[in-house]
Amino acid sequence: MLFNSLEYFLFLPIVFFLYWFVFKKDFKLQNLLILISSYVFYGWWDWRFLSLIFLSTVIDYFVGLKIHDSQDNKVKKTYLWVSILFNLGLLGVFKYFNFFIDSWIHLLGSFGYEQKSVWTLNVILPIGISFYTFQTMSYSLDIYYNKLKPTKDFISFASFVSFFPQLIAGPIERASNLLPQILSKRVFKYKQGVQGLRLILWGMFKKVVIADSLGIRVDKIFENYQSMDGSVLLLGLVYFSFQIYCDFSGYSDIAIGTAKLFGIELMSNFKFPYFSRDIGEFWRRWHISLSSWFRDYLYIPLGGSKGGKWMSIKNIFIIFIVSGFWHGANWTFILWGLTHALLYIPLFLIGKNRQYTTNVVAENNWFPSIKELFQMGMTFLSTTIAWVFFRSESIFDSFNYMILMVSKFSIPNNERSGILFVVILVVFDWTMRKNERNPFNYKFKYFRHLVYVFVSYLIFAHFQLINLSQFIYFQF
Amino acid sequence: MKIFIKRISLFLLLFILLLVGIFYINNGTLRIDFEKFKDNIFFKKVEYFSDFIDKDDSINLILGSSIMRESIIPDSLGTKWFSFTNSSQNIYESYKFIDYYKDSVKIDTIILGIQPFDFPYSYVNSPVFQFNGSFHIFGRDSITILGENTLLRNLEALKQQNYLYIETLINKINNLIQDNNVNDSTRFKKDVWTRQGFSGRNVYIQPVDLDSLFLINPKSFDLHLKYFVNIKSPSNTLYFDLFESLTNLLGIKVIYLITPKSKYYHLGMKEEKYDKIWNDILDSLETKPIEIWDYEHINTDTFDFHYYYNETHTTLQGAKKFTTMIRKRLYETSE
Repeated sequence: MLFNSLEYFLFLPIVFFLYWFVFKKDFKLQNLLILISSYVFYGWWDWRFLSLIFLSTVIDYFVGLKIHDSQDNKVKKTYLWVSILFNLGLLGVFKYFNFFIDSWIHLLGSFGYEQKSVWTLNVILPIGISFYTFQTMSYSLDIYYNKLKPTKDFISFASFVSFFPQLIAGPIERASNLLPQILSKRVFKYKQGVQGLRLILWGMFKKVVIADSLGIRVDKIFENYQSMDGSVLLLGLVYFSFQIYCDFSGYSDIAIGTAKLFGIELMSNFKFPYFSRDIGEFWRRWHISLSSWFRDYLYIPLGGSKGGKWMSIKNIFIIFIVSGFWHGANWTFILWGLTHALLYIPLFLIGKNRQYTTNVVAENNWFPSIKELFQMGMTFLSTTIAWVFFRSESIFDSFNYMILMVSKFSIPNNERSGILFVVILVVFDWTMRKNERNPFNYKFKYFRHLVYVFVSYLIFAHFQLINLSQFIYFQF
Repeated sequence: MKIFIKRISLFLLLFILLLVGIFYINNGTLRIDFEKFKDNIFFKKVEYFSDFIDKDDSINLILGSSIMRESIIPDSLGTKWFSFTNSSQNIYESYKFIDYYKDSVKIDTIILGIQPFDFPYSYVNSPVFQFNGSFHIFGRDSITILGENTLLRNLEALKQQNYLYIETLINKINNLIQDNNVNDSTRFKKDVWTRQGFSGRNVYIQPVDLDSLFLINPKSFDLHLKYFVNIKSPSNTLYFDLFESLTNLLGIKVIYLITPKSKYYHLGMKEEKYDKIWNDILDSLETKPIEIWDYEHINTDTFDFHYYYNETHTTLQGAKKFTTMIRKRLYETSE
């Protein structure tokens, strides 16, 4: 089921009503409702793939208990590997198998060994597989590292794995954050409910109005990039930067907002990344749940920055490349990750990768300073150029796109209409930049209400009753 | 919880009232009339066509989108010609039509108008594309069912007509300021004018001075943008090949016709670099053993401006002139 569908607009109030009015007295019943609703939500797309979620849930449920119960470290480790191998195995089969086969054949071909028949899998990628496998793995890992005690309540654990707001495209929740909330009684709080609705409204606006409108332009430009002017190609890249941001952060906002309606707090996933002053800050603000996952479960176990500079650089390369590969089974994603590693490492080497960790740009001012503006501009430019690898069909297309963008540059005559959407988004984002969890929190009540109406109207006008567009991150 | 529910309900109520108000301002009534979204012309043509095939052993057909509908008057080509041309009808829909009637009547010749939107990479995966949507009556499949959910389609159409997108809203304000509309066809009753399927709207739409309109509001010349959604190089001739193989199998002579277009259409294509894509499509068609009659660049000398009512659609005068040319050529080639 898509958030931006008519079905969801019926589904959400029904679940909300049952949750707070019918099953209010017993949180275990509420969890059962969450579980059933989540399976309906996912099964709406393709019920056959529910078996994968169920299997992943069962494996990690038992692995968690076994790790905890075992006294022997070797046994603990063995069980942890069961979880890791199973979950990565799922990803390997459904997401990466064909990529590895194709790359192997290609490699052999370049040495002169032509393979006549190639055995590949004819399967579709189950949506959200990269998200829920990482979420369940974090459960076993947290138990292994003694950060969490396993639960014996299977229903609650299954609702943690399949919690519908974030099942398909995150945020990738940590068991240590979400599970305790699921295992305790929830109380409806007015303020939390209002924030939830605001987040849903804002997320929907970003997806339906901004991302989908820019998406049409982006598709057109990228599909015909060879015949476009350089300036239009630059616009195409800028539009894609905002499309992917609005698409993905829009999904996260709707997910966080929906969870709030059920009295559950999910972690933030985006904190206005395009207002970052350097690439380090960008990665603390972009897809936070994934980058912190890699930091905690890959970068730190690999030694993090404790093993000297070279070790750190090696680890930085690893997490950026793995992060790229997580997004898709294509060399373009790996190159995207590599580009970000190359952008990040100079900052790391001069020791300035953590200079903007707490405050937001121009925190106490209306406008940024010239310096901040320059910093934001440069960061945006770097990340935007890197997006070319993410969006292009192949590495050849990526480089060709960039070459044409520079060699055929001129003042853009067409495709400028998308700028309007970018400006609207930036203005809204700027006014809300201090708190990503409570949008539209304007002081003046009437102005706030006017904004609600304006935003709701645009969502209503742009909302498609037929031919709905999917969220980009479903494919990852 | 009570306050929460109360406030949401109040907001929703006020918002719905606002939407109702906008609807009332636009329509002068609160009555929802889905009938105006129904493609009555299409169903009337189906009815006429059923009568038409009963009369003769073999027939000739004109197929294609509204561009073809406006360009050729079937009655002027002879009594055996029927025009099954409809708004946004693409080549796949024409294929479905032929496939449906293949056992009911012998078809000798088809003149099929081809346009860029007959060569999309996918009809199914494109959010906006050119299709008529009523062809599911000739067989359901993943493409034709896209137009099947009439209630949702009607609601979407109603919504789009009354509640404008940001860009449309801004364009509308611009047009109001500049007091300019290319034409207002909705004021007139559309119909199928002849039993041979001629339903050209050029019967009531007057020719316009494209030069002046372009000077005032060049942005309203945007048909080329709509025709090239999901079209790219190298061209996808899958749907074309499907049509071609079916007509070959049935032994039908097909003339692929490219209708005249105004210079502003070509200008728009050039600006968007669509001319290269279109030329690639034409190049790929030239490699096939098919008959193409290309009149697209006729406008410069023999086909004057008053033969168009917008960038691509001809006026009645234009249709008469063009039909004469086609009739003459058909006569010459049949000799």
